Amino acid sequence: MAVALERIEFEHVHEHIQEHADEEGGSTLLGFWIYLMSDCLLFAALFATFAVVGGNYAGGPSARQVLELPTVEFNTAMLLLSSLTCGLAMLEVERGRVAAMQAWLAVTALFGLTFVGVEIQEFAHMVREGAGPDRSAFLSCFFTLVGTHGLHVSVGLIWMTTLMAQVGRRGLIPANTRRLACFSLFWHFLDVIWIGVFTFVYLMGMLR
Amino acid sequence: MSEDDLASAGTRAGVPAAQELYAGARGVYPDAHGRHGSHAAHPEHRGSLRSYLAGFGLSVLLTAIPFALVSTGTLGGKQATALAIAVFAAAQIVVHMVYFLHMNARSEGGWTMMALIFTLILVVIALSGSMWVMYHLNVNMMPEQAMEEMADESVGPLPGGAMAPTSGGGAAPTSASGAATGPAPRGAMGSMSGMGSMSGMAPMPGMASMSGGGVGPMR
Repeated sequence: MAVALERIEFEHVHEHIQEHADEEGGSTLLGFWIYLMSDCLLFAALFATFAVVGGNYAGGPSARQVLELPTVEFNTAMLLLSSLTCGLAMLEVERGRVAAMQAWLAVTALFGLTFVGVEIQEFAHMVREGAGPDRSAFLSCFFTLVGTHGLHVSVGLIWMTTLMAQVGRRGLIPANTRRLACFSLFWHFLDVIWIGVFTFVYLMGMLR
Repeated sequence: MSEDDLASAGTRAGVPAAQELYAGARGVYPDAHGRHGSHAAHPEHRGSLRSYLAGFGLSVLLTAIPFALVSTGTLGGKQATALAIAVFAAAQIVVHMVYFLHMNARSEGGWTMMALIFTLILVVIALSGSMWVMYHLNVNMMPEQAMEEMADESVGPLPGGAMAPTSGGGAAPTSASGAATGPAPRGAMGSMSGMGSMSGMAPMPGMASMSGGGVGPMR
């Protein structure tokens, strides 16, 4: 009886140790997810600011006058396509096909780069027309919200480049696989934020 | 092995419930093992080509429709269009969460879902709270001119002078002048319509009910 109980306990402890041994970096994804949630709160603050003062034009141009739907349609398509190709890259990670993964990641980077390029062009165009961030409360929070998202995408592009280099050097080792999983979460998360941006800033701006 | 030992120990000790209890525990064990097994097999990414393509297709649809609604103005009213595109955005966010971010209640022992729910609660509080507080602040802090116009209009039909612009500021007018204040809010709002903040709040979906319920200090 006593021996049996001891054995149960031993097995239990053994299982416990093994579980911990398995989890080398196992909590990374959860930690990264919690970072994303905090990032989500950052964007919530910016969205709230936009909701409050987004209609204060201070005699300056309104959303309808400065924002162009075709541009944002194009950029939405870019980001959505990049989300798809990022997912396809992750499928190649699961299959362990390095070359195909790198190719899909490169395509993702290309879409992301186009997105950032078009956004920079849009911003530059607005500033040239006198609709810079200093013009009105609406434009201040517009540039802050959309710019913060653009900054995230830019950081994602840098991250993507370093990941491609890391995988190129050391292949799909567990550490790299983990990093790629975090990256894909980040990239898809940015697309989710963009849904809020194009809906509440651009589309609703057109309705104002 | 140990299971039989323990079970027989239970009956020997004259505790009939023990066997039942242990049987229940045995029922739980394989389940726990199975969960661990699958967790180890798929520690990270899950998804298939089909789910990615399905998510992409749904997203394209849920993006194209609101863009079309806004550029064609099919729904007519701005409020209706705003509400519709907000619903499409919410639907698309769910699609992304499920098909791209692979959210489910099981991953990481449910903690990702917990974090998400907590974040959503905070986001809702931050957004609706800011909009609600700042909206009422805007309405109650009328500019000087609008205050005077409002006071003039309401003083006229009410000889008692209850509506005189006293120290109470925007919050003053109360039930005593209920009948007389009828036309006043419209006048006040009319003079305020030039304010960007007022027109800015209009299309937000949550605001529809608020503005419908009688705007501002005149309630």
